[in-house]
Amino acid sequence: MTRYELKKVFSQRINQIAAVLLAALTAFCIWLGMTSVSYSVVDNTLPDGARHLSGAVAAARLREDAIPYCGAFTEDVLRQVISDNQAVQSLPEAQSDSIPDKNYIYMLTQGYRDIRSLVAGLYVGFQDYDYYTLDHLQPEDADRLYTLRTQNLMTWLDSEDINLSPVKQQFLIDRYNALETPMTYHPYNGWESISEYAPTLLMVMTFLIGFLVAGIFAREKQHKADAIFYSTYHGRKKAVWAKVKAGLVITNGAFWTCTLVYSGVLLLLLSASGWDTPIQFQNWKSFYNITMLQRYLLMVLGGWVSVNFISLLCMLVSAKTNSSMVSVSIPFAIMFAPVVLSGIHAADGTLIANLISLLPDQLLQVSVVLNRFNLYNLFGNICGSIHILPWLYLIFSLLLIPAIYRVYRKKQVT
Amino acid sequence: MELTLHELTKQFNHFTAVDRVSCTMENGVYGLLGVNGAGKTTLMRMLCTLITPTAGSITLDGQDIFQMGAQYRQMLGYLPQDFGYYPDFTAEDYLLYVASLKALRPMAARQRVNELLHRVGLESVRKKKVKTFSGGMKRRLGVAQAVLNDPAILILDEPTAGLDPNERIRFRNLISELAQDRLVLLSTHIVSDVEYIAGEIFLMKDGKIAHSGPTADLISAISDQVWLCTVPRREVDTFARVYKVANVRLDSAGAQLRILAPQPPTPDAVPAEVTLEDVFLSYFGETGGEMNDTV
Repeated sequence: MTRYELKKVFSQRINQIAAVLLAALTAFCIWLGMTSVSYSVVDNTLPDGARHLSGAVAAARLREDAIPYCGAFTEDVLRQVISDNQAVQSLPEAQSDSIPDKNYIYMLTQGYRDIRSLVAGLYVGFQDYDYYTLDHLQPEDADRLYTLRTQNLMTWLDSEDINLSPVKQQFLIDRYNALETPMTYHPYNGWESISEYAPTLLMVMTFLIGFLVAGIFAREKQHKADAIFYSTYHGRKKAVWAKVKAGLVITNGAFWTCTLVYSGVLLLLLSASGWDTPIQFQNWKSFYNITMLQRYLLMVLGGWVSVNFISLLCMLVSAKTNSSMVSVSIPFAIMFAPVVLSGIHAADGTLIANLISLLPDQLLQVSVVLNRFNLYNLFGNICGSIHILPWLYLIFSLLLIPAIYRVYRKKQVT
Repeated sequence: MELTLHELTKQFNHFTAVDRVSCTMENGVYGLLGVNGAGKTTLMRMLCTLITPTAGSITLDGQDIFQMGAQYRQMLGYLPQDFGYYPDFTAEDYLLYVASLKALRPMAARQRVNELLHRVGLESVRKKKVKTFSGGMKRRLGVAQAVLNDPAILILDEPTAGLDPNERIRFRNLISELAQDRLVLLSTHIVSDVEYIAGEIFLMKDGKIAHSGPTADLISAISDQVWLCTVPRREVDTFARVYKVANVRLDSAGAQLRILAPQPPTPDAVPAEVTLEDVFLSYFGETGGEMNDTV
């Protein structure tokens, strides 16, 4: 029966187009991810003196250049980076204003690009970022590498506009101190690319999946096929389950295919190097002490829960209203309501910000959520939104399944 | 097997679609006749457990059909008035799907589908999409799905609506074939659909069963009330206002009228053989009449 439900969905031209769009979306996001990794090499035949590589070749060259800085990222390594950078900045080309010279200097610094990015957020104010920070550091500044992070946090917590209770503030300090140091560093281009375009992939995917499942229940009425459906032996039991099952098969089939192809191709081409690098290398403020691999798994978990929740919600609305149009607007509403709500000025830690951080769209952008400071007191335990969101929407999803079944099996054909 | 309707009522807000209908049906063909809006479809939908009654009950051999649920639906075949189908399914796929809904095992389903496609004359188009079918082909497919599970109770709601005369005759014959050893309830507002195949007729009006009985009994009840007479053409309108006129035939001598009346409408009127259509007209007024110009 589930097979026929799937056939009903995919026999429609509009759904076939949606499936093709899903494949195209995945390919597009892979392309975006590939081209987001760049590496420049000297080429004096070009006007700017540089040839810009991207994709797998660029990632391989970056990994090669980063070899001297890989492993435990100690103060000594940072000191070495600062010294290396000073040597580069003292070259005559560094003083030049010409584009080829600037490009040449940039090419010499590509090996420690990730470290430059870390320093750009760490050696400035808590909320600031300055790309050129590394150029102003002295080797002795490296001594403050791991103490500065907590210091910056405490300075920020002492400022007036912080809405966190003392318990929550202490929680943040504890999490910062719990970061295992020295951090492990390996170039993480593959993981960075994945996390950069995953929200785009997940959001558009959610909409397209919502489109595919919206008609599963509604079209029975639209085709006036509900009278025969409900008059059959399985019409009010097994056949309704078959519809729910078909919806979940479509949702999970599309989700896992797109997600695994997207991440698999990017990791294969850009390398899975850096899987054990803490996310603080990229998001140094994050209080979640996890690695790039763990962040990826969280993103997949969040996406999976969110896509299933929104898909089930679409099915419930479809079953209730018999309208594909109304139900297909659910993913839109869920994804764009927070955009409207974000117009309300809400600093991290405020009630509104905490509520917005629990909306289902947050699960589609886990990498962004991991940088936020929305904390919750659950039965005396402080936790971040990422600790709540997957479980919350997993429970909602599980509750939606019997609700859909109940709503649809009791429908009357008037 | 005995299907019993007891004081069956269905209200939609303040409108009573079916009003305290009581009757009992056993194996055989039953015709449910009534004008559009009489409540036939609502009654049939209740019989198919598609809607629940506001009051009253439907029992099969003493058991409430709504409590029987799937057990009852296993014995049921239903062709709704608006036969819904999945436009992009082929005839074969559609029937196999309905067979799975009706809990037929895959092997048995395939065999039954082959048999029925042959029986309803759709074997050659089994791989064609249903959306390409003519109205008659869709109806035949509808009948095929209704009898897939060899139902003990077959409910057909306006099965000939929209069909041309050839298709209607073919359809009637098909239903006659299928009517063996089961209870068939066939609703229509086209009298000829049931005249020769129904053993018993229910005449439904304003949600109620106004009259019921074997066709012969209904006919004999008005056996001396149908007249044929010829009047001048200019008087046709006058007669139509006074009497229930079943038919008007214009010829060189004037207009030959078929009139329902307790007394002869003209001194030279002669009694005519009564048909079920006359019975229909007798109970439901002018809406049953039809004009047959043969000038």
